[in-house]
Amino acid sequence: MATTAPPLVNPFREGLSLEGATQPVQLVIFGASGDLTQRKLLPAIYNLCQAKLAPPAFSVIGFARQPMTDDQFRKVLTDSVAASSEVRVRDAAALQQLVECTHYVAGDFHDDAAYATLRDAMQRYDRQYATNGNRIFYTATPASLYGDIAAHLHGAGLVKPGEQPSFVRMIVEKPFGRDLASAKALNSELLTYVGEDQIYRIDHYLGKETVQNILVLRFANGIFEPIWNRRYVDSVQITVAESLGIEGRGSFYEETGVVRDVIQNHALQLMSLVGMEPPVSFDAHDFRDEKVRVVKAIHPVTPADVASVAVRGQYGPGSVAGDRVVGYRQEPGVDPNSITPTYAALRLVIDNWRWAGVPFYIRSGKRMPKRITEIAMQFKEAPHLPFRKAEVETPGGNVLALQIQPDEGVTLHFDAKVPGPSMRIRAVEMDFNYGETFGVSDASPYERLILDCMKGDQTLFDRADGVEAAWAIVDPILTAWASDKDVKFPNYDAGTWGPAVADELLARDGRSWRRL
Amino acid sequence: MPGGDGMPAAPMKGLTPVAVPGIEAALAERRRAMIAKLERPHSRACVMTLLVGIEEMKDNQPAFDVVQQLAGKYPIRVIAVGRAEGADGGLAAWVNTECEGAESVAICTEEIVLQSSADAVDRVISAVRGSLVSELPVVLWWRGSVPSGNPLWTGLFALADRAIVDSHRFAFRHAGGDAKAVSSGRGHGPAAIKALRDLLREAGTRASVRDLNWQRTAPWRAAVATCFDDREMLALLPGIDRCAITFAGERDDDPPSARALLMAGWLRNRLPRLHEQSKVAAGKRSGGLESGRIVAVTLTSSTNKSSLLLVRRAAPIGIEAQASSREGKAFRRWDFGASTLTEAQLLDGCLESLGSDPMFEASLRSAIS
Ligand SMILES: NC(=O)c1ccc[n+]([C@@H]2O[C@H](COP(=O)([O-])OP(=O)(O)OC[C@H]3O[C@@H](n4cnc5c(N)ncnc54)[C@H](OP(=O)(O)O)[C@@H]3O)[C@@H](O)[C@H]2O)c1
Repeated sequence: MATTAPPLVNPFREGLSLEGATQPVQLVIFGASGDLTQRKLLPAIYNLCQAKLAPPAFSVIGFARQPMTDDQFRKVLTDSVAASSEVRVRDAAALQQLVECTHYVAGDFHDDAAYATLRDAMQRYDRQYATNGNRIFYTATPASLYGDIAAHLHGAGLVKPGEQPSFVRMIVEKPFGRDLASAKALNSELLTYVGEDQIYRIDHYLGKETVQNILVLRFANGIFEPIWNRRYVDSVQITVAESLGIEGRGSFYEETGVVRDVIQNHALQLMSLVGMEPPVSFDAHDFRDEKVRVVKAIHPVTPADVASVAVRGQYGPGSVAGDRVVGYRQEPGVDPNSITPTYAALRLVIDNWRWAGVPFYIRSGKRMPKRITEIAMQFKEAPHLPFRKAEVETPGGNVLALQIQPDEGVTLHFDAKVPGPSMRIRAVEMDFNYGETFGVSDASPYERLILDCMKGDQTLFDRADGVEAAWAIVDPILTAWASDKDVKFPNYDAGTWGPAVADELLARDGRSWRRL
Repeated sequence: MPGGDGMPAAPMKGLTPVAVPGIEAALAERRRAMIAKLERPHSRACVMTLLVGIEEMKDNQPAFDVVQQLAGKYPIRVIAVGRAEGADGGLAAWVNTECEGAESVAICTEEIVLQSSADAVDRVISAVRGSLVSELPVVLWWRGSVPSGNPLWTGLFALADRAIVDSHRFAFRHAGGDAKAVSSGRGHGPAAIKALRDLLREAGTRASVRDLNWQRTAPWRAAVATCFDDREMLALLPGIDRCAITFAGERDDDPPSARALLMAGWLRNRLPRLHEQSKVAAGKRSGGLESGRIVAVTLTSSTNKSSLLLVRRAAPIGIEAQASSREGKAFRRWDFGASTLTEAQLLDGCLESLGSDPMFEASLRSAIS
């Protein structure tokens, strides 16, 4: 009986991953002339090369409609590196090395002939740079094109790995659908052509060091897990506040709104990291199983519930950080009668043993007084206070606040005795500042996530069922709000913490938003 | 030049002399002064105590320069301990607090410098013991020759969870075929490898040991691994059964350098059939290259003409590699840019993770000795 020899494995690779070595690879960027490529992707790729984290056998191929020569695209690369504040070390030799292995192919993503040209170029450069047939496709294009791109790549024979042990991976940008039905349709279209283990759905929030630190805080410390449940936690507040408005992207925001832009992805990501059960391991499979499980356990919001668990808002004119700003409806590209929400607050509960009865309050808005993202675990008050009420100056119980941005860190609020002869008690804060302990991490989330994709690590990327579970939570809210046009907007002034209805949402439970 | 009050001169600028019992109070005071200068709230952070063992305080400046370079990266307490004659009553102490990057986030380092005469090692160790930051990892960076048998090392290592040495600094006096460890002299790779193995044995499971010299082989290891990522090169691997490493030496009969032996150990560990045929030899000294550095690595086949040759390039610094087919025809070249890693970068690499380095330990076991 003939047996096939097992594929040869490079024995010298083992143990080197800590030093950053990755497999040779060709990175093809769809939408290479676009904003995301220029502002985020090219500087991130340069940083990876400069830090010698990208493999020495590496090449970049830009692909978009706009006709450009290799030299013109190389100029786009050097200009975007020069303009980026995310570039850490300006290293002319490293940039030159990257420039020399960067190429461009022009073509329309709907055109079969363009993919034949792309395939020829990929084969040529694969030989030239010895990238072993390993490919990553990055879709930095309008979301409506993702499915079509996958179909064409499949048609051109580009998504099947060639000879073992090569790989083909596809990084898919957000937004991943605009509601549950479109996300399901996109998943099923992509999965017709590309395997789930090849798809890397990016949410750059998961590439942030401090978001990953939530997991370390929870699962590397023995003291938090025992109290991380309904017996000790009163409620959880997740805030994703931006002081900016829509920055000239009126037509984009009109189609999107705060729920699609932030709540369905970033805010629910944070909620799942705080709420998930400890995974058996941090491999992509175990970790994502637990992350999806907790999103699926969120109590479904029915159309009848929407009014009692979700509120929306839109900013009017006001002042932010000392500057007068216009209201949303006065922004360029925005309908003067728009009912697109720029603020939303939700009250969600998780139906499982750990969290039953603990409300998770989520709020996100534009034009808030400051930019801040934090998760606050409000703990229950001590069951009995042996002190007179007057002695406790600022009762409030214990809060563990995980700050994600801008001042990454962890703060614990607890009560302490004010020095003196009487028993006066005052709330104090104990701070851990990430930057002051480890220095500020300067790698951008895109850098981290592209590197993870090069290494074949899907842990920090979304899985199809995770994306659909998140859409299932917000879908009824989007539907209800789209059909109920009778809303009095604007209902909060720019530079304030959102509409009064958001305060009422918590007041009904006898709680209030944290003053940030 | 001696300091006032019978105090020896401070081993570096910016240090304030203190009596050992006053170390914590002096640090706290300097800290308060630093925070006042920052004009913003600052929480104290500390991630480890770094003990720096210096054999002779008069050679201390490079060690302090390295500490300064690390200071901006980690909030650490550094306790530098060295031997110097003439320390008052056998023991002298200084402190300093430095905050870096005050504009955005400030990372503060506390420095304690302890100097003792040879007969006051027990006193200096007791001062170190009392100055460790509670419950945080203690890393000992030994900046000297072979540490075993040195009472300062013994005292400091007993307090540490991790020791970092530099086998390149291990010095020996050659007496016939034997090499006897001394505080300064010539390198002798086989003796250094034996000394490293002894250290690992001494550490057992209580502490881990790392070697800066092993870190210096990282660019060579990464280059070899990358060459074998190439499918054509990988296809030649089954036939590869010989390796040769050339290091910079003074004479052809120089004993192999520790670095070259560690590199050979790694190759032999990764490809056990190389155990039979591996060679480490001194190359003609080129361009004033420091002794012991790797100059070339060759992997060849005894049954055909396939080979991989990696050669150090002087300017710009890098490694050039060339692969040849079974017929001896060159089919691929690589050019790896590299830079000479500074002592601070090497130490930083060792501090990034606190556990042991299994690949280093396996390569040390496989090194020729
Ligand atoms: N920009 C950001 O900061 C950001 C942040 C997060 C997520 N995203 C997501 O990333 C994706 C890209 O965003 P973007 O802001 O970079 O968009 P963009 O500036 O509009 O760029 C779109 C790119 O796609 C190309 N393209 C569009 N239709 C094409 C076609 N039929 N054939 C060939 N090329 C075509 C364009 O090429 P031509 O110019 O040659 O037509 C352009 O290179 C979007 O899905 C967006 O939601 C963007």
